[in-house]
Amino acid sequence: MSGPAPGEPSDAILLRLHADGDADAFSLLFRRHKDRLWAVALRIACDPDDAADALQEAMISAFRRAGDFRGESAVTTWLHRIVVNASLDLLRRRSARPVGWSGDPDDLPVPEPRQGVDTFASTDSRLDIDAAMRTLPPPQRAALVLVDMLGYPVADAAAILGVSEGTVKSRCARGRAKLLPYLSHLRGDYPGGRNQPVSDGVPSEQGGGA
Amino acid sequence: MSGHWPPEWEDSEEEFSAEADQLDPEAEARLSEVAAYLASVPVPALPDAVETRINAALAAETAGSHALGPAPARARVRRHSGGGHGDRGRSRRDFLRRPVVAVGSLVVCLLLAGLGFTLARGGTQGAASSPAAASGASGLAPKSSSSGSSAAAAGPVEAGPEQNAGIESSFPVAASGTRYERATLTEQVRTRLGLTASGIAPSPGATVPAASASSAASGAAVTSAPTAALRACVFHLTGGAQPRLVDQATYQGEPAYVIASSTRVWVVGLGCTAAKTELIVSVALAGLPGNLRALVSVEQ
Repeated sequence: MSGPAPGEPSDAILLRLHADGDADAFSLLFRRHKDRLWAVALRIACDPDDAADALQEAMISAFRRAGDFRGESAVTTWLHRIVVNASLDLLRRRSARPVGWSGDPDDLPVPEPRQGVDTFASTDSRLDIDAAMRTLPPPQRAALVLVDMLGYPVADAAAILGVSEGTVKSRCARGRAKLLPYLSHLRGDYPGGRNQPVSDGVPSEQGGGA
Repeated sequence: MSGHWPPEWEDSEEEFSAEADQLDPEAEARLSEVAAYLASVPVPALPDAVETRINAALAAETAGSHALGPAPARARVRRHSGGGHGDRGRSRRDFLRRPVVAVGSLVVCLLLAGLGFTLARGGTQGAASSPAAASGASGLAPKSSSSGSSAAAAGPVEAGPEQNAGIESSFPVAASGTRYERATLTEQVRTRLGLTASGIAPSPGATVPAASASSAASGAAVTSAPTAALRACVFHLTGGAQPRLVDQATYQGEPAYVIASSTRVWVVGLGCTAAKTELIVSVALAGLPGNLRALVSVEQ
């Protein structure tokens, strides 16, 4: 689920209802965006346990801070920003722990195939992607996750990351350059269709290329 | 966001921008290929265990029980035994255990909620209820760190213009005792709205006189504040717009809420929420009286 079904309230209305005390509104908002928020946390943290911690921390923070939302951006942008910050904060706290990849495939966790979704080939591709993303500094990783993997326009990614558009473009370009050696053998072997961002339940028509 | 990152995270980005300008077309094409590949990576689904855990944490937030008991168990998402990855031995942080802050917040919220409720009641009973009064009460609402329930009692929280467009925080719920019928529903609603629009008692929280000749209650309709669930239900149906009528009555002999916006009428069960509206019927409210049409055009 990534957006409101016909007749369902928008994200902004849900957030307002939550701030007004509706007990179900925030859960519905979370359910609506959970997969994309999870993707952000997982791709930045590069570890499902860390991602789960970051996402939980982010959702509780959003739950508590709903009254601070001023409507200056889309609710999805606000939620993504909180998740990105929680993920980077978590990595920062653990910066003593190396997050890079030694280059030895045996050092990598093996992704578990998803029932009915993954073939052996796509599982291998995920392993390559996960390993490659680990080699990037987290800020570059976050920019690539938002722009390339989730399809957010550079301007939206800049708003989420709290940096200029130029910085986002730069981080993306550097990140892609670093990923090139890891992914060159996968040329043309795309695991799925192009991802599109969702803003208040409405898929954006804009691409995310930087 | 980059001010206090570990040094190894920093990159000389400005330097690279200059280099990026010098990329030859072939290199650019290859980088574009990387971007295209990343774009095609499927979005992973949130594991059920994590979703359950987060929902439990949110439920604990709602109930305020996070201040009194342990956080929900933090199930491991995945920790395979192979591949040279054992338990890293790191301690799991507990983001829910903030007892001192949480208890303090809860007490403050309850006090403010009580004060806000008292003000709201005073405004209602004194027929002084107005948007200004409502916003005055909302000014007492805690802006953050409040649980949902306390925020509800304390009134609306300020939000930006985009968010506020067409969204009011509350509305009166009449209990007119009207026996709405399928054949005469819109006429009955029009009658009620017509009386309301004539200026007798339009303000939120004010007592609305009995409206319809078909009303079983010939005296004044009792009004009350909506529950959070009803408020969610109504704003769900109206798309966030302030309803013109919310009447707890009967429809075809069964208890129901009759909700009217400027253009539409909904009849829902008494258990209506945003997630489950219990919609019985929804009809267009055509042929508004002239004086009400003017009101509607002003509202929209």
